[in-house]
Parts: sequence; structure tokens; C-alpha cells
Amino acid sequence: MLRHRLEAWARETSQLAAHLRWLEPIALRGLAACAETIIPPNDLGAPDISTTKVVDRARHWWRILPPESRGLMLLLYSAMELGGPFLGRRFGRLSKLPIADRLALFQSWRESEVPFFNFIADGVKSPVVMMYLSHPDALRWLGVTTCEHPVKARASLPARARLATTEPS
Amino acid sequence: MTAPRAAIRGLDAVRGGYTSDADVIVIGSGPGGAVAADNLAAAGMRVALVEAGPEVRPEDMGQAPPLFLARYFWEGGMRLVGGDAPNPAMQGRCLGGGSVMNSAIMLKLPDWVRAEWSRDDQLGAMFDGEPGTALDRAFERVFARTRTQPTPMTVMAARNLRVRDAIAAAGMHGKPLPRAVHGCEGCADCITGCHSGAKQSVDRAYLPAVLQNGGQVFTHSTVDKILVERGAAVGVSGRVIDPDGWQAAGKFTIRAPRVVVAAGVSQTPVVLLKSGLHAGHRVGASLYAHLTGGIVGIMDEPVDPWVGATQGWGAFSEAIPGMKYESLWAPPSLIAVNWGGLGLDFLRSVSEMRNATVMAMVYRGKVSGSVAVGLNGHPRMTLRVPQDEIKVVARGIKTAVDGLLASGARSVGTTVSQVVPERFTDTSQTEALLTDKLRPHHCHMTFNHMFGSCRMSADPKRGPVDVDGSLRGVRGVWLSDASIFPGPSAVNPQATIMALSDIISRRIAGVVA
Repeated sequence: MLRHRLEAWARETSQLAAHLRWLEPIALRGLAACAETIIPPNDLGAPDISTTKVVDRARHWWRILPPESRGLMLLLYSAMELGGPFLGRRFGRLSKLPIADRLALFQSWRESEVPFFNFIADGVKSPVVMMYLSHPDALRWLGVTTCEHPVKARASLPARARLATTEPS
Repeated sequence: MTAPRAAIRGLDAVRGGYTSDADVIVIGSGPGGAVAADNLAAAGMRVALVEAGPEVRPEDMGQAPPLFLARYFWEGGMRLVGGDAPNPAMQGRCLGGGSVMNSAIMLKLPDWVRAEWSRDDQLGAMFDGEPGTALDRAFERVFARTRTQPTPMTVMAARNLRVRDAIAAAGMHGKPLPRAVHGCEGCADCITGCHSGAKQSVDRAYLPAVLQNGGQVFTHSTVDKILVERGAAVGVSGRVIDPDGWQAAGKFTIRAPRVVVAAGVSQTPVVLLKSGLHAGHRVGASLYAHLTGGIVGIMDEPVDPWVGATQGWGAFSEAIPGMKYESLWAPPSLIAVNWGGLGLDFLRSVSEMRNATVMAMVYRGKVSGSVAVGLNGHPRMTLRVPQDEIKVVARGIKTAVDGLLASGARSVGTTVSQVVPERFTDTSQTEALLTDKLRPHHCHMTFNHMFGSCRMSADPKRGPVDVDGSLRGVRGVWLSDASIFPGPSAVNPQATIMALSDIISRRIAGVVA
């Protein structure tokens, strides 16, 4: 019985993200601070995070994620914004630190012998990389070419589509 | 008037909830579930196939990977395996399951693994049942149905050929990987669904026949519980989940005297445990995985790695039993997640992507763990990686790095960090990989092949599932996915899942396997 209650409670809190909307602005500031550290302005010809709309697209992505994953993202980047510097024995918000200081902080987590910090460093980097490198401008910069998309896909699923929509003659 | 053929019952049809009845319910529409549903429907049974996820929209295939992950993977692609080396375990959650987002590699269970399973868990009766060898016959049927063929040279392209060269330079004998594709154009987009329609994922190769034979296919339906009365299964109940908002959009109940659970290694034990079916606390008591790492070689000339079969060439190591190498590609946004550095270092690193070729190393290590139900109702998985196995992984990575360097790569990066250089430019540097300082969390491995959360064994102490696929302690429940593997398969598991499911389901239906 206790377990069932706990499960029910946990299921409720996994919907936490719906109630954490107020965290979203903080999380987005944290995400932007992380993103401009991982993908800084550069002279390599790589588009920056505003051209690739990393923050806006991440917000859209968060909104279609399942609640527990959405909550995880909100909590991760909010924690980065509010507490990230503290983990590096600095004070203030992450977004207020100079990019070089943020970079040094993330680098220290990547190189830490404490797995927790490695995990946080990877966790912060992965969504930024996913968002950045899925934008057409970033793909163009890399020179990515892809097969012609989906008109073919519709033509290539006839069996299933027919089964779903037609009656036998 | 002819009755209309059955259609997939998508969200619009199941919203608000539903009830139904059948002769057999199959939970999960991935490689295990689809094959089972096909055999059972073909045998004349009334089949209800229940899938938690949606049907993949063609317009989503090959498109922005984060959105694809969010829509079609459990927990948006963020399902984690904890333990010594915490990492995501990407588990498909859509019609067709993992077959929609894997590279379609179809390899038979190696003889030495088959012998091990027969010896330790007495699976010989299942493999060699009359007439002839049941497992071999099942593989034949599955390969024919999925049009499995060795990858043709016409779609290898430079990336696969560079891996071929590296494998040869490392002293191994490689060959084209057999894949379940027909008319592959080498778009290298298998992982976000094959938009050309060439991949013979089970939603294409099996589900149309299930529908044609009168089967019912329900999507967006998460099974919470197998209903049991007087020691026998009588149906399932669950919730309809609308992915737009992820709210419950109704409840469903399907009644049937037989239930085949094929929800995947992580989800199958969750369904059983939530139903109170723990078979002497052995459900979820084990978990195995292949250790997988990536090695990226940067060549002098452009490779255009996004062209060519996703995984076209591979080899088994003779020097390290259980070690396998494959060429690999995934969308840049996924494959570059672990590429070196931050800031300008990262951008410099990915700017060379056009010249990159990627090898995956897959190792059947002695990794073990367990699956339990987390407080949020999702699986809580843990895996332990022995230090000795990390040394083997390091040797395996060294072999790949040496092979790539010897075959012309100007630099090679690995997923190992901290205690070794981020890039190797000469084979004299790769001894560094054999350092004693290497620990599991340095290796950034992924656990995409997982097995054995509900082991199949003749010995009840070794597993909750009997050698006919039935769950112990209850009548009318069978399992037919990778959760029943007694251990790691040493090869990509899809073909073995399908072959075992073929045998189990044919026997349920009373058809000779």
C-alpha cells in the first residue's frame, strides 16, 4: 500500500514539469549561457547560437518531451544558472560569468575524477550539441548533404497506408 | 458486403479509452512482438497488438533528431542506465519499436554463444526441436521475410570503405554486414527512420500481414498491468497516452487468455513487476549489455560520412573473443555529442566532420546489473562494469585506433576521456590507452544492446522464463524479446529476438517451429 502511494506520488511529481513552467525562463538563461560557452562566437565560419536559434528550438523541444525528461532539462539548466558557479567555488549566476570563466568551469567538470561532474558536463553539452547540429545552417557549414526527403517516403509505405485506409475490392 | 480490413487504431480511434477481446494479446510491436503477432494471426488466432508509442509519421523520418527522439523514444531518448558508467539507453517507443531506428543489421546468433546458452541454460530443446534445428529454420524464415542481404558494394561509399581498410590494417577479416533492407540508397539515416522506405523494419515487413489476417493494432496504449485470475492471465489493462501534453486520454482493457510480452528489455520487467508477476523475484534480477564505444578517424581527403549504408562493413576480432567492429553513422547532432572539447576546440573538431569515418566497437563483456520499477513507474536500470573488462575495452579501442592510423587517418579520436589524449596521430601513442588509470566512467560507452532482464533457462533458479518462453508462476504469459536472452548475444540482437519470437509464437499457435 505504501509503495502504491509512493508510486502515485512519484507519478504525480513526474508531471512536475507542468508545474515548473515558472522555472523555464531561468532554465533558458542557463541554457543560453551554456550554449554560448560550448558554441562561442568564432572566426571558423560556424554559425552562432542565435543564427541557429538554439534557445528557441530547445524551448520547443522541451515542450514536446515527456514530462519527466522535460522536468530534468528544466532542473538541469536552472541548476546550472543558479548553482553552477557555486560548484566551481564562484558566486553569482552562470549567465553573468565571462565566457572564459564558464569554459574553465565546464572544462574542470569534464576533467574531474568525480563521475558526477563528468556526468553533469556531458549532460549540459549534449542537448546544446543536438540542437546546434540539427539546424540547417550548421549542417550547411559542415557540408552535409542528405538524400531527397519525404515525398518518397509516402510512396514507399504503400502497403501499410493502403491497409489502413482502403477496403479490399 | 465485404467487411473492411482492419486498420491501425491510432490516437483518434483509441482516445477516450476502449475495451476489446482477443485470443491473444501481444504487448509491444518491436521485432519480438511483431513476429509473434504475425505468426499468431496467421494461425487464425484473434490477435490484439498493443503499442505504447505512436506510428512514426513519414514526415518525421530523417528530420531533426532531437524531435525524433522526443516523439519516438522512451523518455524522449533520455532513459538512463545507472551504475559504474551512467549513460543513456535509447529505447524505441513507436510502432515497429527498435527496428525503426536501428541500422537493420541481421546477424545469426554465433555458434559459440548458442552452445553456451544450450550448456548453461539447457536451451537445446528450443534450438533443436523437431523437425531439424528450430533456430536455424527460424533464422531462415526471418531473413527471407526481411529480405536480409549482405550490404551491396554500390552503397558502401567512402566511410564504409575506410572502415574496411582500417579493419584489414588491424589484421582482421571484415565483410559486408547483412542488413534487412531492400533497395537501400545509402542515405545513412536509419537511426531517424528510413525515409526512403528501404529498411524492412517490422512495421513494414510484418505488421501489414497482421492486419490483413484480422489482427487489431492499437497505438498510444501503455499497458500497466496484466490481469490474472486464479493463476492464469485473462487480459491487460492500461492507459491511452496522448503525446501532445502526455496526459492520459483514457483507459483500456483487453481480455484474452494468452498474453505475449515483448515490450523490450527495460519495459517488459516493469509490466510484469507492476502486475505482481515476479516469478520468485527473478524478474528484473539480471541485466546484461554490450559495451559500445565510438572511434573517429579523420582522413586527409573528404569522406562525406553522411553518404552510404549506415553500417555496411564489420568484423569479429579473433584476438579478443566477443569483440566486434562496425562502420557507423548517425545524424551529426547525435554522433558529435561526444566529440572532443568545448568551445572553439569543439567547433574545430566538428569542422573536420566531412573528413571523418566512424567505427563502433561492440564488446560482449561481463557486464551485469538489474532492472527494478522506479518510483515514477519507469524502469530503474543499473549495470556494473568490472575493471578487468575495461582493460579489454581499452585493448579493443587500441586495435581500432591503430587500424585507422595505419590505413591513413591523420588523427583518431575516441570516446575515452581524461586519462588518455583526446586525439592520436601516431600508433606509438596508443599504448596510452592501456593505462591502469582507466575506469568505466572515462569510457563514455553506450548501452544500446541490452539483454536478459527476464532470463530464459530450464533451471528456475537461473531465470523466470522457461525454455518455451513461458513465464513461471502464472499460466498464459509468454515473453518474446531480448529480455529472455540468457546473456549477451555478441551480435546485434534483432535477428535473434525475431528468431526466438518466431519459435515461441509458432509453438503457442500449435504450428511446428
